[in-house]
Amino acid sequence: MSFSDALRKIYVDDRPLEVPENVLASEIIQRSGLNPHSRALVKAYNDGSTEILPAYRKPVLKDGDRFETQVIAEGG
Amino acid sequence: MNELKNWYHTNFAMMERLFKSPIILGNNYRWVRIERFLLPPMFLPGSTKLLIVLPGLQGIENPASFNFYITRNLRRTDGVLMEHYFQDSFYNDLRNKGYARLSFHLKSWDPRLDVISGDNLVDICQALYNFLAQKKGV
Repeated sequence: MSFSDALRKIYVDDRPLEVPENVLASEIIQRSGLNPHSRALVKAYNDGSTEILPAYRKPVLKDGDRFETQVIAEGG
Repeated sequence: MNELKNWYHTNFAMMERLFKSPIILGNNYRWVRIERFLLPPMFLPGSTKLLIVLPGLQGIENPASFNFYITRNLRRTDGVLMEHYFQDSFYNDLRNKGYARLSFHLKSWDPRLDVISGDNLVDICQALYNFLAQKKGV
C-alpha cells in the first residue's frame, strides 16, 4: 500500500465518508452518491469562509474535514 | 401552469421557514425577495435583502433566467476584494432601486416539479451563501 492509499474520514453534507487521501473533488461527490456534473464540492472552514473546489482538484484531506455539496455556480 | 405555481409556493414556504425572514413575492412569480438573508460572518452588516429575479411562469429550466441582487454598501472585514459585486456599473440594472448586482451564474440546475427531488431555490441560496463566503473573494 502506498502512502496515497491512506484513507481519510471526512464529512460530506454532514454524513461521514471514508476516501483515499489523493482523491479528486469529483470522486468525493461520486462516492457520496451524487453526480459530479451537477454538484460542486465546497470546503467549509471554521472561520465561516468557503472554498469551492473545481472537480479536477485533489483537496488536501485531513480526518474530520467537512465539505458541502451544492449546485454548480460561478462568478462571471 | 398550476404545477409551476405550486413549485414556487413550496419553495417560498421552505425559504420562509429556513431563513426565518419575511419573503416578498413579485407579480406573476417574476421575483422573490428575502428581507433578511444572513451573510457569512466576515460581512458587515451581517444580513442583506436578497432579490432573486425569477423566470416567472415561462418555465424554470433555464439557469440563465435567474439573476441576483443584494444590498449596496456591503463590505468584508477580511480585506478580500468583492470582484463580482457591482454597485454602480451598467451591469447593475437595479442600481436606482438601491441594489447591487451579483455576477453569479448557475451552471447546473435540475429542478423538478416535485421540489424535494430536484434542485430548488433553497439550493440556489445555499450556493449563493458559499459563493459570498469564498476565501478568494466573490
